[in-house]
Amino acid sequence: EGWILELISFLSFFFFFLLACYFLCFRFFLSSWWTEVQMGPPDPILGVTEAFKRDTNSKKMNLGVGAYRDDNGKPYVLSCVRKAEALIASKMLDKEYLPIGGLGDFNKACAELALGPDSEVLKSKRSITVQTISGTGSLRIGANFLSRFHTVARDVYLPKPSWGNHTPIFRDAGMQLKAYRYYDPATCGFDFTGALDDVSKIPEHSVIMLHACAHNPTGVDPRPEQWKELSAVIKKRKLLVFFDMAYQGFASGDIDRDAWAVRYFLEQGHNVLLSQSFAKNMGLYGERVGGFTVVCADAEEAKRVESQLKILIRPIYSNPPMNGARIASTILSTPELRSTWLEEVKGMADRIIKMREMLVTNLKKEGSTHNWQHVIDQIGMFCFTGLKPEQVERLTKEFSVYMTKDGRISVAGVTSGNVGYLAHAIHQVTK
Amino acid sequence: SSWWTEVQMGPPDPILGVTEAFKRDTNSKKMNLGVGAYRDDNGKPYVLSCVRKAEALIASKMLDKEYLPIGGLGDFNKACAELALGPDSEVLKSKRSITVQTISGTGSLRIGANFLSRFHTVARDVYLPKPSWGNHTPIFRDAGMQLKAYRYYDPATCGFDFTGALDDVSKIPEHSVIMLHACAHNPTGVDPRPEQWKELSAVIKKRKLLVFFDMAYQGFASGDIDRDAWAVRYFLEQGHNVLLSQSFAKNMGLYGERVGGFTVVCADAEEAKRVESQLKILIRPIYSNPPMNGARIASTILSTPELRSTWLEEVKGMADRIIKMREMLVTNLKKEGSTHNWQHVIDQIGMFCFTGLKPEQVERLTKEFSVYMTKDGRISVAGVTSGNVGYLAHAIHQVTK
Repeated sequence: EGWILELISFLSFFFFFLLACYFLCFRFFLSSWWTEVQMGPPDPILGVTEAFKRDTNSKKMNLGVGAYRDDNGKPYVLSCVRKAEALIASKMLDKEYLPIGGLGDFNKACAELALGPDSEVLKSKRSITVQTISGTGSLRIGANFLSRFHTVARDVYLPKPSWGNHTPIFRDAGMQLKAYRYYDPATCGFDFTGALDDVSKIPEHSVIMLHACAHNPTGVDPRPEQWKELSAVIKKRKLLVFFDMAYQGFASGDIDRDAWAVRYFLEQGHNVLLSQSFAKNMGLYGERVGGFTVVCADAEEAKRVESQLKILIRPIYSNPPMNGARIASTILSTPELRSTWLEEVKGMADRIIKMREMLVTNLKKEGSTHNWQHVIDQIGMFCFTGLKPEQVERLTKEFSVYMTKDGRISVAGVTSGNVGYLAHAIHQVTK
Repeated sequence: SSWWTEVQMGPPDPILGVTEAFKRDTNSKKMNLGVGAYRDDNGKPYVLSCVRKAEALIASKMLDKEYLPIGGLGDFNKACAELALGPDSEVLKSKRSITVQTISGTGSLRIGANFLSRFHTVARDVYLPKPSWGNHTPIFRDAGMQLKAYRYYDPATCGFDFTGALDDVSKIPEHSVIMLHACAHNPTGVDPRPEQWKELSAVIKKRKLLVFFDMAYQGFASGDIDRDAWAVRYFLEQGHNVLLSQSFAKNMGLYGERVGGFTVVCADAEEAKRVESQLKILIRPIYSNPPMNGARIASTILSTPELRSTWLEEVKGMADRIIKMREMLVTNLKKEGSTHNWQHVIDQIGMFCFTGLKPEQVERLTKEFSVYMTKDGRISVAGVTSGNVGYLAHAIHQVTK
């Protein structure tokens, strides 16, 4: 009978239909919440290090590294840090939570280091400093604070170029990014007139980010007279200044000299935001030690701002990590350790400066006729060589010298042992 | 002039207020039962000996302080995931999960909240148990999620409102996020029983909800790390691809070192890789990479057999002391002549106990007896010692008889 066949085929169809539904539902369930999540772009700097690791050339050089290396190319833990650690260990301290704003002694010492011991701001108690997760954590707290409380303007003006991470920090916090001219590729120096021109047109109340010293990635800093003019224009435009000081002491070797711009701006009446990091100047990279400061109109305002910073911080990480702050605080407030630290940070800065000089000397010895003065004029860990992408590629492929595509080298990766090779390689690709 | 004229003074922190008042109190019998950190039987902070040993080991290695990767210390992440999921976990064998080191439990929850906000676009709602840890709300809200609640605590029984929970959960819109406390619910101390977890799992699966486990007390609740992780592992076996936050603040006493982990269980290893890449992109502009010290300690403990055994003993010791204090409190209350049913003090688990005391009674406890707790009647059992439990029982009896 035909109807039996029809019934069978209907039932089979129905059965497979049910099976299909079951698998679809089951698969959907067991499946995936994250099907739409794309693979993120590979990290550019990491890519450099990965390629470096794979390279078998014994002369290879990693000039992408953003961490200090000694003259043997090794990571350097400061002796004042080791001593501070021993001191701390001997005290058998507990591991109770720090307050939301961090270790009080650290915050005090951190602020004093930046603002100076005679700071009127500190005497008036009109600033608040909270311990943060190094420089990045400090900038992000600042960005979040601006997003929530600086409602008159959404724009943050970064120098062009700036540290790569500045952009996502402010963007993820809900701010808009803009830029002002800064680096002049023609001179490998500071585009002073361009900066003044751009800054003079920034809409009032916008936020302007300034690198306090050792600009990252260019190494190009304004001279004091130039800072003075910038301060005047910024004051005229009524801009909110946000200083990023990640290299105090590490740039010139002198902590007061490196903090000069911050202190000058405060004297000029700018009530700034300030991010500090102890990653480089104390070599505390992985301990994540930093501070965020808001300079207010008066002590009462500082109290209000402090209460809101805590409300902001609590749902991000509750309270900051203790270990690095204890180390930094111990160093800053134990006279003998503080002197040792000042010597050691000067030592790091001096080695970097020496490598800059040796590189230029060696380039001349190689017979290079280019003007390499910028290598000596630039300051801090990084140097914008002025090399073009094709030249950078040749350096990597032919000489196993690794750097970022923009021609930035970490001078920290240069040693007296390899500076000659580096000069030779650079000369080969630029002659 | 001022940029911050419109910035209001924020409300004072409720718990801090308790501690501040406690400090000012001159009564020698005063007790601080607001403290959310373990205390030994002398009322002192306790640094585990396995932690001290691990620190000595680490110090002797003269390690450098180079940045950790964005996702943290690899060895730590591996050990952290294994601790939660178990060494025989199919999820781990398939490499279909990704664990990143975070800034303790809060940092973990916030990374999770940010990740949901960015990638879980099908739903904005996060359902918390009622009540939940106070900080859960601002964590998810500041990350851009919306907060909702499901019934959980039954004040009538000082226990779990199982029927209420099932009822509410069965009505949660599909694909919403549901937060579950893996063990030692904070603040109530009330945990579902295994059979109840099973029913919850079934309803949650039916509603196609995304499960987010908060496990801040593994080992600290029952004294047994596998028993405390049972719910998490059961849900994974049932096919829930969960989010998981872990903290080592309490179970290793690493509070201020800020050690935690965030795990996303994915469909397969390929998805785990994609999720990992996006977690790193999210983390980098928050703090770049996590603090090394605590992770090194935790990793050393978990992967050095002798230290791991010591740790298991010590965490059991902490849990046992808490359990003992619960029993002693009830014993003493009976001795005082209290006729109330205090069974919930023993049934509840973990650091906290929802006493059932009313605000007026809490106020009397503070004013007349210098016993400090939060207004909701929550006490930290960790603040109770064999030396003061009698006084506490006496005080509670006076305000409840």
